[in-house]
Amino acid sequence: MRPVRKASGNRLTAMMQVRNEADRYLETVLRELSEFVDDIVVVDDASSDGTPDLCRRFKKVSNLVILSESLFGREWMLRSLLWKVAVSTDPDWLLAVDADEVYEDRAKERLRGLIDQDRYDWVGFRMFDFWGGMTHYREDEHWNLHRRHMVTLVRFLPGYHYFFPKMDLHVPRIPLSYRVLPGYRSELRIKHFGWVGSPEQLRRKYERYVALDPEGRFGNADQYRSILDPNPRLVEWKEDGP
Amino acid sequence: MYFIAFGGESPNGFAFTDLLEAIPGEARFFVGAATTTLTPGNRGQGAKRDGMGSGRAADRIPGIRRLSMDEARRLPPEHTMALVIEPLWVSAFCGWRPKWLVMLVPRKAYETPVQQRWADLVTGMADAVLAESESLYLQLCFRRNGVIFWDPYRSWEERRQLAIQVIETLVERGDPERMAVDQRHSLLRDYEMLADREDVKETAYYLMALYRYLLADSRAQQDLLTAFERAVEAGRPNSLITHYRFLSAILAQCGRVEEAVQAYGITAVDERAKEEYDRLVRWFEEGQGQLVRARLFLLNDDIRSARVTLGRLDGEAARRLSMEADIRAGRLEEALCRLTPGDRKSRAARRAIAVQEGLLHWMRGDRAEAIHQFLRAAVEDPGVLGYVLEMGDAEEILERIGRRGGGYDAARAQSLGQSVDGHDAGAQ
Repeated sequence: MRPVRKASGNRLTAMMQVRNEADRYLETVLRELSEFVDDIVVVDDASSDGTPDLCRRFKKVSNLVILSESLFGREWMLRSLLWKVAVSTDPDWLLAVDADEVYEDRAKERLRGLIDQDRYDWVGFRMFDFWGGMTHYREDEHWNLHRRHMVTLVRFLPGYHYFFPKMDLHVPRIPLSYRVLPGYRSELRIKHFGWVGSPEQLRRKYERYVALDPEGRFGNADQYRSILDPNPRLVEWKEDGP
Repeated sequence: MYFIAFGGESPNGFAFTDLLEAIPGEARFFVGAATTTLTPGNRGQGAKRDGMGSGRAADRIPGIRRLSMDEARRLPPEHTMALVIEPLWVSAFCGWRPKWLVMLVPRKAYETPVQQRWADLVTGMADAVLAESESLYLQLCFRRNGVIFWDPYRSWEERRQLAIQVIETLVERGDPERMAVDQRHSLLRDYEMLADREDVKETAYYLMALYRYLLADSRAQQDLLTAFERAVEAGRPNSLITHYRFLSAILAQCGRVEEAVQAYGITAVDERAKEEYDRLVRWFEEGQGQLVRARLFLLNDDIRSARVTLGRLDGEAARRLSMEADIRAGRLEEALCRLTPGDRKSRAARRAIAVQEGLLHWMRGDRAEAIHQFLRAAVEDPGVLGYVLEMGDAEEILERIGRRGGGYDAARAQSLGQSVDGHDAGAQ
């Protein structure tokens, strides 16, 4: 019988959902992931820019599912599908990564130590929203994710009951059922480049969110508006920072 | 036939009044106080005829005759049913055993540890158990057969019919389990009707899972997982233990033993549970699937299923689990019968066994031997002297109840003795 929790020899599988990421950070993200994970599972949400071809260039992408119709407006279905595909590879640990997230260098070195133990089942990291470029992150009332921990690394427990909230937008990338399992809050950091675009790109993102969630039912309407703030408070990123 | 209610108050303070009312007036007796001491716990106990629970006038059980314990012991046991709400009276039976013993578990908690200990023991030995609180009722259903929910929200007439049915079933068939199963089906239907209500969905599904499990219905799994999802969404961090762990019992009941072990393993997040999980895995890999099922039942407090499963097993591990299950079920005699000389090797084991033997002697009314056993155990652990003190507490509580009756009336007792079924009860 396979033990529920292994303290050594754990395989780490990264899982990503992607859509039209070929000209953004996907190549960097896949290259970085290839350095420290064992497999990468990708669900392509009906890209039209050659994203699947880019994924295929990386040997560690062991499973690529391409959707012909986008599930963007039904995010919980997309998250559930990605989870289903990822666990079908019989992983020990899963790292949920977006196509614009990069783990800091020291995190890559320490990840093995975080998964080769039998005391906790999830790990939370601090995520920094880079803004206006690759040197600064945003920090204010609405942009402070780095002060909390986001769970992106989880042990796969075969047979456990996994479920996602049935929401169309802002669905957590990890099933809710991990909330009641023991976890560890790491001080390691993730760089999020999703907001690094030009003012025009930010405006398009804002318009997309407002169109999908005009009343801020799944997110926060004030935060949507703050995307357009012409003078956000930015803090310089330091590689050896706390 | 005689029915004796053993209470901690007067008949008017007795929580199961409707049960007494269902008994023919000439056959009902009462051992307890003559006057009710009103406390927040018993004020307004009993139920109105509209079934909503507030008290009635002081004369609500006309004609019930009060007995002393000595008088009660003179009634012919083969024609007597004891209805016990104050379990300490059973410690005063001193070897007298009525043919039928029904434990009545009140809603309010017992005030002293000795009362709770005796409640557990009497619950184990009784022919049937009636419980006023649904949560206690469910706990007891997991401990033994023949448990009936004495629902305080049912109408007076419904409870009266239930009382008559319990008594008739006990007298005619001896085992009320069929009736208990019918009641579980009925309670399950009640919760199914609530399942769509958002405000009670988690509780309704959880209780549906419990009732389905008790009825061996595999749909318990889906109901439990629905309740678990709700509990997680509500931010209850302990739901891994309070909800999810029960899945291991459901899967074990269905014979899906490997999945059951893994479900338990997922919930094994502290050292003790991890040790249990390692042992379950080892037994499973050794091919001892039934032993694994029994252990999982015990880990989920389903002592009833554990005892049934263990009853079909041989071997040292099964014997040890059976002893644990018997003790948790309040079946001391059966537990002690399973002892082997090897069980007495360590000091701690000798002490534990002496305590259980002391309790058994106390239950049988052999006070001297009980004290002897407790003192033997106290040589190893002075803390055991607490049991001797508990014996004193028990007597004091019973004396206090008796004093509220204003003393023993010999003339009345004489007349009562002669009136019991037309001959001298004292000659029994």
